[in-house]
Amino acid sequence: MAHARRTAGFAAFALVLSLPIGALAQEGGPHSLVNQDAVRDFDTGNYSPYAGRNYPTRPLWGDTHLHTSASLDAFGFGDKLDADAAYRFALGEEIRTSSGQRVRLSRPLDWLAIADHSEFSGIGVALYEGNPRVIVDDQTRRWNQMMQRGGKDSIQAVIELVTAMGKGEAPPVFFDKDLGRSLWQDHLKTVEQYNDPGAFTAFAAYEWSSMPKGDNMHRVVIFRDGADRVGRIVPFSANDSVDPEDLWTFLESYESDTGGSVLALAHNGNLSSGLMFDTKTWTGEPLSKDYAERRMRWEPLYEVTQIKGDGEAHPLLSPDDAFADYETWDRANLDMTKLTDPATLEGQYARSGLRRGLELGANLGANPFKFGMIGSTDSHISLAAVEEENFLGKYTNTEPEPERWSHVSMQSADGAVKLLGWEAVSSGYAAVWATENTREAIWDAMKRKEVYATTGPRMLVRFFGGWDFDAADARGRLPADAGYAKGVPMGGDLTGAPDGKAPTFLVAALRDSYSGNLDRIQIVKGWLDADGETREKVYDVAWSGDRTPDADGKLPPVGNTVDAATATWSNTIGAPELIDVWTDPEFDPAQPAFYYARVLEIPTPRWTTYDAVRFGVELPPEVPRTTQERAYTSPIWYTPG
Amino acid sequence: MLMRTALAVAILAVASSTALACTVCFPYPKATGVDYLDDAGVVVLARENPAKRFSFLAKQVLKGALAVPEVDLFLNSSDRRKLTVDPGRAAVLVHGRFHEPVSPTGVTQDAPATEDAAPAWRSLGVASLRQETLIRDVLERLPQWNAAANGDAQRAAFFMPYLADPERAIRDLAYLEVGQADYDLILKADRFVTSEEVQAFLNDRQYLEWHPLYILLLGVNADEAERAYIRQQAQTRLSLGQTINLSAWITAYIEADGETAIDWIERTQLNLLSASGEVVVQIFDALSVHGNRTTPVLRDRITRSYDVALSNYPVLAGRIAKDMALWRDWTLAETVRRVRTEFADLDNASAYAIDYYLGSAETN
Repeated sequence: MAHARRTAGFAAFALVLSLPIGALAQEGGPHSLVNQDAVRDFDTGNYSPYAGRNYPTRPLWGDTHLHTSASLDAFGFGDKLDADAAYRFALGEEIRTSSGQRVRLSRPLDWLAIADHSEFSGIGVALYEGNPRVIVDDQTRRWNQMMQRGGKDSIQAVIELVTAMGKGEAPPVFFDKDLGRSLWQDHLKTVEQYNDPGAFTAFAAYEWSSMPKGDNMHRVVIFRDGADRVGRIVPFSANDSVDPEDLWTFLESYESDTGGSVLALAHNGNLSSGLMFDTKTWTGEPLSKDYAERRMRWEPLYEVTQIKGDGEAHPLLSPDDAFADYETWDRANLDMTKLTDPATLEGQYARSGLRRGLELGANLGANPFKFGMIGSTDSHISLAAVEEENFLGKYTNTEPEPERWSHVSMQSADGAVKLLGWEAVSSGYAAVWATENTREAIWDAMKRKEVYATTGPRMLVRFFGGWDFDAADARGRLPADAGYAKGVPMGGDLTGAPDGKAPTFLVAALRDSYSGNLDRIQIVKGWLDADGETREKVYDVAWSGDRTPDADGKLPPVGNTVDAATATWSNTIGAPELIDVWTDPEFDPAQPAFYYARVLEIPTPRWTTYDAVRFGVELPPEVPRTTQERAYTSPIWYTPG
Repeated sequence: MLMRTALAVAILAVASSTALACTVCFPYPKATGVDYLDDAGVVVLARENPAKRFSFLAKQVLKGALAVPEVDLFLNSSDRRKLTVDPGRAAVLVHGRFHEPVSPTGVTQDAPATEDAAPAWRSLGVASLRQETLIRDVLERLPQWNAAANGDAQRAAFFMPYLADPERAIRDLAYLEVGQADYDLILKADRFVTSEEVQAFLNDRQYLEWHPLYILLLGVNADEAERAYIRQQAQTRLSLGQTINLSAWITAYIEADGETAIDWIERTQLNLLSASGEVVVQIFDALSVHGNRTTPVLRDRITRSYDVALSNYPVLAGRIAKDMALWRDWTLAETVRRVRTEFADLDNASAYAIDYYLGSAETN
């Protein structure tokens, strides 16, 4: 075996498992074994091996993309929960959903970015509450009265409201910038109320919801700053422009006008008809170096997995990747008016986008698609809950109830293509390697792409690239120490390979104590070959058990302990932790490349299986009974010197 | 290309007024799966092509002829999964010159087919065994429906029992098919759907644009509680100027309360000048549906309301003239002539209908 795997064989692991999750996630905690080799880079002038440590020691978990009742569509579906409720839930408090169900997260999140749609944000709630700044004419007064009457009148009012907007007949007050500023500032007060440096971070954020011709171009905008700066602007919306370059111009103005910092991240390229990672601008111009540099300045991250599909890879584009078909949504664009054209798939998925970025980078002198990866929920019920056994739905009409699997969630205009409730993906979360739980530290980690995505579980993943990692680095209990000392973390760059050397990667994963053991760690490599064509390959680098790859290098499946009849599984297969050092066996120093790690759990029950058992419903055979949860790290790029 | 002629005024008037870029509800299609089957030159059952993943291989031709079995159409992952887990199922593919849905309104064209579009394959989805049986049945019947003078009525009647089908896709197809029938025929669908099913459907806000058919059925043989509910819905909507599905509610209101309903509408809406143009058009649509029934028991009463409407809402003159000409009723000729003279903003279609009515009145 070229790359010996290492699974958890540490005597102290049983001790570690008995600790609370917080301690489990603390690398180098008091119950860890410390390999003397691994501490060699510490300041030897101190007795404590941790003195002077300046790197992040645990991932901070959060959601960059949560909608509350301030989003008009969420409000239209009946979301009654505001930002206050969203924060309380994220902090671990038990609350009631809009349908009255008692719910709670398995454990709190560390941070949250409420990203309501900036288009008419807060208007629905303001109408309902009778905000005098909104109730300015007969029409708005009538909607307010209908909403106050409740029941079908309220629904009718919302439908009329949304319909008026669809027809371009929204009351003029809805476009009033002063009103927009006022509602935004109201929201920021709640954000500030919940921002608790060191304990919980609340970001000022919103979603720019560009959707020309039904193609998804949405971007979440996240500020590093507090209300003192962010309150000086009115969020840029698709009412202002649907062109992402105009959004960047707005972000640029924000930074220059306020001295603040801001970034944006896109999502759901799978619903973009290929616009997400296109080879031309939205206006049809060929991409330029300036475009590439601007895009990567403002959009360092991409939301790779969420409720509306996992977007890491598409099985048609990655036929040799046995795990590429994960919760794939590829029927149509966002409003289902345009069925998927396979010719546009390369512009829809993260891996093909990263590959395309290498090619464009070589041609333009700058890579426009050099993004890190996070997951988030895009929940529209104010609740960031995407664990399989605790999946609370996308909209209020898919909150837990027996028939939610069969709800028509989306439907094409001709009615022929229906997307049913069971197809919602219970995914995902963002893990950020920040040095402390503050806006500044988390945002800075996002900016440098030291982040990773998971589809819901909170597995701990480290990924470092360098030229000199060796097996000893994987034997210690402090892989990050070696990682930072000898290489760059996820999101980083390697340039100019030393003579005769190939890049080495130190990769480690520790399972989520609430979830399944680990099946394997893979490293996904993409590169630009000598002919200028991009290529990809997936390497199994560490795995559980005593499996042996077959003659084709394929590793046998880990097995499956899921009992669908009871929605249970056991961690009798897989490994609690995996770690290894891997060297690229096919490295060519002249060829640009990217590498990212994908960590797979053993099969566990999918959310629909929990529903089937809890509600006693029978699911059709096409509904998967199990899922293999996963994590995707941000890539490390190699650029020839 | 099939051009369906017997379109229920109430349904289409409602659908066209609300089929908008609504993020919280589904648009009401103007073409049904049966239209696609009818307009297609070729219909096949297909599964994934093992030689070319994510595309199709035809397994059976149901209509037309096929030169090669390979169908170069994208097989999406969801349908692929359905085919993988059940080797007995197949996707239904149609080949023809089809419109693409139009965004952002999300509305299909009046008919699915067009001579302007390039010939292309389209998937109608993976069929269940029951759907497959239904499709075969429909394809067998379509030539007869197209040839018969009352073929559209036969087609709608065929689908009525499927309104109660256990499969949602079949129910939806039946809904669209029955929804295209004449009002008199629509009313016969009442016996296939229970009140509970109607109420459940009307409570599904995502299907708001689809509600009109069941609103109409609510008015059929309504008991006192249902009549009160319909009355309240129609009156509230008229009072508040809520236009979504308004003509369907008014149609059901008139069905349930007869002349009393028309009295109320005339007194509170047509006699006043406060109703919006969109509201009065929907009032007209509902009156017109009842006036055009096979046995138009309310026609005289409706004619009197038309007279009132002409005075206050001359914008309706063309529509009213068209109905009156159809009914060969010339009693409103003088009123219509006055509108023609005094009202300068008539569109061409209205002016033509009025001139036709007035010319016919003179020769009769």
